[in-house]
Amino acid sequence: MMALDKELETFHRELPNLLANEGKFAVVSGDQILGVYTSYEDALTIGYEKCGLKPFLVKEIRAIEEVRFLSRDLTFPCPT
Amino acid sequence: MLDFVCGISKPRADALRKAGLPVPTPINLKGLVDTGASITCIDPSVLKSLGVVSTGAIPLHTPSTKPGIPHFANEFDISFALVHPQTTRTWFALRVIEAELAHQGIHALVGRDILQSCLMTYDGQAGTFALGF
Repeated sequence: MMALDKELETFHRELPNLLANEGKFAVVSGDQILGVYTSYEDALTIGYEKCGLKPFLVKEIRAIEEVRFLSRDLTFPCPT
Repeated sequence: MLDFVCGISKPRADALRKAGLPVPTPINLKGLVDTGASITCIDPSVLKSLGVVSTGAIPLHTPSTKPGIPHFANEFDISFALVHPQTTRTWFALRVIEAELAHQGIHALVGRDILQSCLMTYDGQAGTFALGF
C-alpha cells in the first residue's frame, strides 16, 4: 500500500483519457483529476491551492512510466 | 560532499502561510554527489523534521531490484539551494525520494536531476571536484 493509493488508482484508471496531454502533470485528489498542467511546479502550486494541506498526487502523464535509477543499494522506508 | 540548504517547496510554504501555520526553517545539509542517481534522495529524518508529506510515487531500479519489477518510492516536494558567497541557485519545487542515508554520515544523494543544471569538473588526481551553477 502506498500513501496515495486511492489517487494512484484514480490516475491509472483515467490514464487513457489523459494521454492526449502526455508529458504534462496531472493533479489528483481522491477519485478526481483536478487538472493537467505544463510543469511540475505549476501542478504542485494548484494542488496546494485546491487541496491545502490535505493529501494529493502530482503525476507525470506518460504512456510508459519513466523508471528512475540508483546505482547503489539503499534502504527505503516502507511506502505506506 | 556538497553543502546545500533543504526546505519545503514554495507552493507548500504558501499553503502553510495561508493556513496560518509556521513555515519550517530550511536546514543546512551535506549530500554526496552521485552521478549514478537519476533523482536526488533525502534521508527520512530530514523530511520528517520539515513536516512534508508525500505528493507522488515513482518506480525505481536499484542493483537489488529484479528486472522489470521496480521498487515504488514515495516522492516529496522540497526546495533545494546551492549556496555560495557570490551566488545562490535555488530549486523552489524539486521532486525527491526518501532513502535511509544518515547511517552513512550523509543526509542526501545529490543526483543528476540537480547536476543536469550544473557544470561539474572532477579532478581525479587531486581528488577534488568543482561545481558550477
